[in-house]
Amino acid sequence: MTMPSASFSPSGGSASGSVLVVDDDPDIRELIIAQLERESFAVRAAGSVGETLTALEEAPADVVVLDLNLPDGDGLNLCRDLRSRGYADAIIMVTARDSAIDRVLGLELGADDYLTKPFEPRELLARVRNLLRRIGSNESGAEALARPRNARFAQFGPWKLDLLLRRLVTGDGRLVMLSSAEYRLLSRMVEAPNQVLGREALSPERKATVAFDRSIDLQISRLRQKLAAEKGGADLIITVRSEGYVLAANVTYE
Amino acid sequence: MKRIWRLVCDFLASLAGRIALLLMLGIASASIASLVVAEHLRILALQHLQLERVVASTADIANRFAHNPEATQSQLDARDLFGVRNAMPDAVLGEADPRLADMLEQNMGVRAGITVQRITSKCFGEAYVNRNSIAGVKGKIDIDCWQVGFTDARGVRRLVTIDLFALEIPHNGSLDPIYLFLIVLASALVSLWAARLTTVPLRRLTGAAQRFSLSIDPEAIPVSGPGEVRVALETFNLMQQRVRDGFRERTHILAAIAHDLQTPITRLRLRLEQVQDATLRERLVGDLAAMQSLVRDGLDLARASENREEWSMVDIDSLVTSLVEDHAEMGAPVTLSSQCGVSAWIKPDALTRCLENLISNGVKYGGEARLTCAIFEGSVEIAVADSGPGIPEERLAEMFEPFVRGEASRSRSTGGTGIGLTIARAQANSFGGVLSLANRPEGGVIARLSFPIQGPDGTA
Repeated sequence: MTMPSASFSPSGGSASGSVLVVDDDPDIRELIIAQLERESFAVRAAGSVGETLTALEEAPADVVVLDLNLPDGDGLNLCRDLRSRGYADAIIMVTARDSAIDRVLGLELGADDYLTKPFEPRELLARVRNLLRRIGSNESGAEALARPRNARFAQFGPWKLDLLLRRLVTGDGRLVMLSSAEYRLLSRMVEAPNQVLGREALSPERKATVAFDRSIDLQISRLRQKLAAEKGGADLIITVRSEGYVLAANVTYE
Repeated sequence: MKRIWRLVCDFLASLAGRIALLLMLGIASASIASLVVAEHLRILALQHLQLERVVASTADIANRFAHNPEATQSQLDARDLFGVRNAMPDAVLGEADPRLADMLEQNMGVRAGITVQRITSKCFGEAYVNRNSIAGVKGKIDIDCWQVGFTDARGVRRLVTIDLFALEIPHNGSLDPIYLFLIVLASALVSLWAARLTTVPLRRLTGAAQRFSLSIDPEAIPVSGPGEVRVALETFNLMQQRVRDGFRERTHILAAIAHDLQTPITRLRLRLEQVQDATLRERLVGDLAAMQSLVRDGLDLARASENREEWSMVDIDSLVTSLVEDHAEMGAPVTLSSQCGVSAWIKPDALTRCLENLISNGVKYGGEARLTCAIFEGSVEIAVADSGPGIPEERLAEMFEPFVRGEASRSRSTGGTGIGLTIARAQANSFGGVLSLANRPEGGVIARLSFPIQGPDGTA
């Protein structure tokens, strides 16, 4: 069986995109479909591992919403299978198991995102949209090549950024924790190292107020302080006057 | 001086102290008693030896009388025989010595009609005074004399005085104070060592129980040592296993319930989107969210007690400031006024969840959360203070019990499930942290979390 690995048109004008919902509970399946269809996604459904494979053979899907408990197999294994066969499109795992182990395992097996039941319908929509946007930008942007799908650590200077648990690790394994804002900023910078990033690029969710918002500068200075704690970490973030900030380091993934 | 006295008292109150004291007294008194007995036997043996010499002298003179009575009598009269003379007429006689009589009868036969009496008066008269001192004998000479009567082989009754140098019993050094002191010292050392040896397994058990009280999932104690100790350790390990199994079962039940509840809750949540009436929908979503948080907290509580997170060296300040910034970003009144500048060997997620719960309690019930971090004697102490109404002193302890709230009416409106502090404490315990609650004199509650900088096995 050959897995489809067709390319997709970037989700441009309307919120179009194809989604495959995999869940063994028919009610939940229907309800999710209803939610997504309301946002004019092209939605199909599957109730088991077999149905998923058949559906993907018929036509590719931009995003697979994958439940972990399936009657004829485990979503984790299905995810790993799909990836090993070269399936390259986005997978969101949905599960009732809310433990860090599952999350880590799911993401390491090649899922792109993770959602725990019960979730807010809006949350699911946001994640699907977000993934579609990333697929779109991946195909056009250059940084798509930089980050392998199941990389866990981004290494730069003396630091490693744990992309899963969202914290910094020193060379000798000491942990330095990050606030959500700091992680957001740092992960954006790590995605585009050695490029000047303006405030809009660093904090798109604050576009409306960003021109007046000084909190980014505060967060950057805190981040600098944390990075400077390790030898050789002092000048990683450079200010470019009236333009923004640069992460002056090469990033490797492992 | 008082401190030393207290140390001694503490030692004697301990099992090791009592065993040591008992053993020391036992060993010392047994060895001293055996020394005393040995000394007594030695004296008896010497006395016996003296008596045997009397018997030998008597036997000798009886023998002389038997073979040559005239010559012997003339020798006696001339005082030519050493150690034997004619009986002294003026001698004061002591009591008969039955032991000596027995010995003589055994030696010479019953028919000899032996009588023997110790002479208690100065038995030798001035016999030696005129003579020069005897070679090898220094100073005053003590002489013991016995008056012995017997019938010789020819039927003549003889009465003689036997005189012998008094046996001076040599001094026995083993009962000297210095030796007694050495005996007591040696027994004290042996006792201390023995007491230590007996309490080693007890201390191992105590340590294991302590670790068990902090974390539900510690290592089993290695089973080694003498038989009884091994049995005790095996039993302890078995108990530990049983308790752990019980906890795991509870966790599984809770997890199963929570897990199975999540599917209908998800369905319900998705269906609520179809409710047209916006006000009704908001209320239903709110109710469902309350249910959901109860399920989630229940699951958290179950999981907290068997936390399998890995220990890590964590920069404590970065963790605390990140938490504070996250809350401040959401507009919550959470501040940090002092940092502690250390890294500690802990479980970072457990510490984060513990502090999360303390902060959200402070914000919910006390209007704010003010954090401080400080170092006390090798421990990190993170305090979370609020400025709420506080908690009645007598109810402080029960706040850690699950489903106990500060004040029912108020917390209903805040939507707490009442197990936030229970979870916080379970999370703290999972990395050796101790959580306590107190009212601040200036009002409000302060929660103090302290944990060692180094891990329980000294890793850091």
